[in-house]
Amino acid sequence: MKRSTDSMISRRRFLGGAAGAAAAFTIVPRQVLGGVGFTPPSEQPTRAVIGCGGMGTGHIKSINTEARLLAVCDVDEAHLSAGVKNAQAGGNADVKGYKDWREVIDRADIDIIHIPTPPHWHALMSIAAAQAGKDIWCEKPMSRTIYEGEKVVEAVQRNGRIFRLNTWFRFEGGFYGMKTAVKPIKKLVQSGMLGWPLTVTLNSFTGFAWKLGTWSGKTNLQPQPVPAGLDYDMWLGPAPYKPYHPHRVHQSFRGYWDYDGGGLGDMGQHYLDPTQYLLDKDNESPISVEVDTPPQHYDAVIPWRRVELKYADGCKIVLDGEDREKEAPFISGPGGKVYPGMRTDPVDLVKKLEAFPEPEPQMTRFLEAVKTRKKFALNEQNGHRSATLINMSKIAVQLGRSLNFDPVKQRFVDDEEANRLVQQPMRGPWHL
Amino acid sequence: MKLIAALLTFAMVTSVCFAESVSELVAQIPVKDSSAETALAAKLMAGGPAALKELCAGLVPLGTEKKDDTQTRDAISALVRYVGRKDGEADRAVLARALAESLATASDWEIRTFLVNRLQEAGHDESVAALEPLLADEKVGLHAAAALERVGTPAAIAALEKSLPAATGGRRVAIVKSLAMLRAAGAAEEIRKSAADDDKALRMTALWALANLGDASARDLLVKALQVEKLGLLDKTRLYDWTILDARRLAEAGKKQDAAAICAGLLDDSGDAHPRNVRIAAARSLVEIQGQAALEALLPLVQRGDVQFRVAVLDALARAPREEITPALVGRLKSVAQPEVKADLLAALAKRGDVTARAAIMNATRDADPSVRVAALNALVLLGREEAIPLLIERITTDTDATVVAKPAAEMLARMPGEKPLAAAGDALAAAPVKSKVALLELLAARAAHGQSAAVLKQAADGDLVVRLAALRAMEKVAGSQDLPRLIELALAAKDAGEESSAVKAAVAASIQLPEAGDRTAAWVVALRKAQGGKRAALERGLAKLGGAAALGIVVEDLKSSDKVAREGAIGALAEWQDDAAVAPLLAAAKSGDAAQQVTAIRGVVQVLKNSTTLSNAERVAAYSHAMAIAARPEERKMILGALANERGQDAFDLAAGALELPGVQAEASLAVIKIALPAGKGQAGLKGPTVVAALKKAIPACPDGGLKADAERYLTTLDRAK
Repeated sequence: MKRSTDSMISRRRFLGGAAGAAAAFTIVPRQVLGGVGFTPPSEQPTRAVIGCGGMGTGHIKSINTEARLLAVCDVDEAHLSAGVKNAQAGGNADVKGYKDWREVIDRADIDIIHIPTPPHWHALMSIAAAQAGKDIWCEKPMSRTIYEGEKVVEAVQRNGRIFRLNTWFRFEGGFYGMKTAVKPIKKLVQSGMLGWPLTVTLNSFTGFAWKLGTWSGKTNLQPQPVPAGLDYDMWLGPAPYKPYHPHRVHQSFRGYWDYDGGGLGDMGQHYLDPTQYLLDKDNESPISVEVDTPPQHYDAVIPWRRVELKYADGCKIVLDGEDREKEAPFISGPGGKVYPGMRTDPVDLVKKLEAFPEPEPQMTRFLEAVKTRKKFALNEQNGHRSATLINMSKIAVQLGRSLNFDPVKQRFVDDEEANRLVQQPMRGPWHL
Repeated sequence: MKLIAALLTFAMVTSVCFAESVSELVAQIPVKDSSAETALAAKLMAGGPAALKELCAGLVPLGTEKKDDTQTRDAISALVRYVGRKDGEADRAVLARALAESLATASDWEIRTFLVNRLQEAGHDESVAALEPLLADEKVGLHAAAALERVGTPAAIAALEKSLPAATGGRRVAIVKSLAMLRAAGAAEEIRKSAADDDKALRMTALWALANLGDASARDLLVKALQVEKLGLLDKTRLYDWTILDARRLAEAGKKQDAAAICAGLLDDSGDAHPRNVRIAAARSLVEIQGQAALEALLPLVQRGDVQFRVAVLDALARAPREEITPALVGRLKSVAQPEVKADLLAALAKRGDVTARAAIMNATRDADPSVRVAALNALVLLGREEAIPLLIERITTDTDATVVAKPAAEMLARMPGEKPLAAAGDALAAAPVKSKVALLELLAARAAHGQSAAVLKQAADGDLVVRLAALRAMEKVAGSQDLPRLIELALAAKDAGEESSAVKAAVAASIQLPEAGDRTAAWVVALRKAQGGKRAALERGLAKLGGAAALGIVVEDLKSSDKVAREGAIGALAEWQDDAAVAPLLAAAKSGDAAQQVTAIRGVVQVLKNSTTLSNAERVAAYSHAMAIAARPEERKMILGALANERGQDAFDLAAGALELPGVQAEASLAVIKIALPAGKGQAGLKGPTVVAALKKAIPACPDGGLKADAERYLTTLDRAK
């Protein structure tokens, strides 16, 4: 059988060489190079997973598995060992384990970096990956502060990288209480039948529970010995040094402001990213955030009661942490309401939708985005905007007061204390 | 009088304030909400610096047994929030001074850290003197550097600069980092001393800092650092990144030529001169620095076949504000040969949103390469939807590549809001070739384009069956009541079974548009007067979807017809009837008809009963009982028992239990017996009594569902216990 040199397309060429943008994903028939049902390693994009606990297990076992997993990394030896085992069990025989993520990014043979670490590392690792020419699959929330998000956007775009966030509801899956994909809801909003402006209410009754109790922190944590095998200093990284306590790390870190922001951090981007998309606010931010919350602890996240984000055109997103609004629709507008399960008032709105155009298609295959360099549906730009909803809400909750926001400058208006939380200094030597 | 009132008020306020000691106020924590916290913080502030320092003295070192200072820490946090309010500057200064003074006397490192972190939130110049000495502290130094970085005033910068020469190790790294973040150009000379340090963290931080400061030394130092052998990928690309950062700082300082020269020097793609993303970053920075002047250097490079470089650079050009960029991209579009480059140029022109590119884009919709044509169509739609409509229609109706061009063009048209794209599609139908007609008809159906029903209906008489079928399928979505007579006509005239069935479905859709239910069958009744045989059967199946007394009468009458085809058609229609009025005639037909008619009728009874929303449980069970008595074959009995299992009550149970003895249906009967007998969720108790126990004991061994069997055994145990 003749094998032309043109058809011997390497992984590097696959990822950006001369092959046409519209070319099929697998360019050389698999059976020619590697047998039926097998993609030769030379053609397969490669990846590494930094952070093997929690969501890291999912990234190792079941996310983006079309790419070959070459490296896993964790600062906890127990997690790392489990990560290596999981990777090997998934058929990645040559996977290597690392304790220092910088060594992973140093590997020239890795194309895609997965970042399922706690959020205080997301920006630093994303930026380093972008600087090293890698594409990025980052866990949500995208960033811990608005400034970090800005710097990720800058690094990703300057280096021409493909970035996706690990939440998917804007393009697939049942959107929690709506029990339908976001697409028909988007179509309904886009049809104009609901009128404008719209109010979106996110609480347990509309199917969007905030898990505030689950992700609360503990106050007065007393120092405890750092367990053998955990590099606690590296776990903290850019976060201010605080004595070790097991509740700070691993499965409960979201309860502490230094690393995340409680239920807002866990569920916020799952809920708010599709909501921004529905409201056509992918390139905008709210102009104010109002809060009702018990006073927050300086370290531990305490459940808040209500957050209301308001846009310049009057659209609102209500985060109802206490489930006060039992009868609230998911979306309400002057022309109609949409309830969980896609029930509508008037009842025939969904039927009437037939006559309206479908929403614009989205790029939903990550490896195709990597190949063609087209932006992924949920990318650094709109991901940063939806993370901003979380990050501005967190600041208002921490300060216990309502704030005005400049959506262009992405800073609070006339509130220096709030803006100090927008850009928080990292613990040296870490910087963006 | 006013003076006395004021004095009284003052006395009351002060008595309230001073009536509660610091410890009493702290004991009130936690408070419920912000207003309560504000009130509490106001009282603490009213106590002045002494009260604030007393409060800070209440902090307890972590690890102190049986002492919890959470309330004290919360009180201090509350004060920080309180002084951050709009008119809180005077209070802020008092609090910051108190925190700073407490810092000077605190001996425990963690307490000092806590106070430093609060000054990071609320401190200004008054805090600097307290923070500066802590920069030399091994444990608190990094926190102090972060606090001074956040204070960020000239005094804070001066404190960091002053501490830098003596600082070593991690603290020196932190101070260098903070000075760079604050763009403290005055620190450059001292930072330069660390640019070749053996400590990698310090050396790399210093190099980044010098780049971020735009220091004159940065470029040479970075070049030198890049020449080190065995440089890891991350270090190497970071050094490149900082080289580009240095260029951007130079440009900000007005030295655009120097800045552009640095970026241009990184564009070399020969061999492995520079990593691809570095070339991309350099190119994008060059666009930022030079605007359209960068085009000359960049446009030839985007043609070299590197998709990553091309897409990223064209994206940068698309975002660049200068007007001259659009004509340059248009010029390149005309001269370039590679389709993929043309497609990306078109995408960039679309992103620019500059309508001056429209003519060139329109021209590209007729390019020889299909991927270019579709890219041009995409661009055209982004530039202005309505203007794109004629060219989309042109591609849909004339393009030689149906998959790559015509189909996406139709999808683009379908996604346009309003009536104009639909009208254009309707107008184009008459002259379009077969494949295009089908695409347009599918588009009109997808949008339920009722306004185009006349144009669609015309296609239902096309010479090509494929078009006729597509038109009739579309009519299901777009038909209005005015189309009903013609659709019935088409159904009667159809020679193809699929066409006939589609026409009937479309006619049903048209009938449903009539507001009065009674009017919906009138045209059908008229047509049935003349229709015979198979055509009559087809129309009656349509009537089944509409229901109504008049229609039912005609169909029931046909059960007695001497024409076998008409009889079968009638029984078929009744079996699909949309309301339960068909149950009685179906049971009658089942009883009196031949074997084949009986099978259809019983199946129809089960189907109609399953869909019934008006009959009571008792009525349904009675109907199942009749059907069971008539059914001669196990197949129909199984079907009845399957439906019966979803009913409740003793009658349903008895009917199912009676079937346990019938041959060939034991499994279905046992399933029905168990499902009916067992409790069904909250508030629905299970059946009881000796007959139930006896039937369950018979049913359980025959039950094919393991889970259900186990449930039944458990339930039976409770019945046995209750005896």
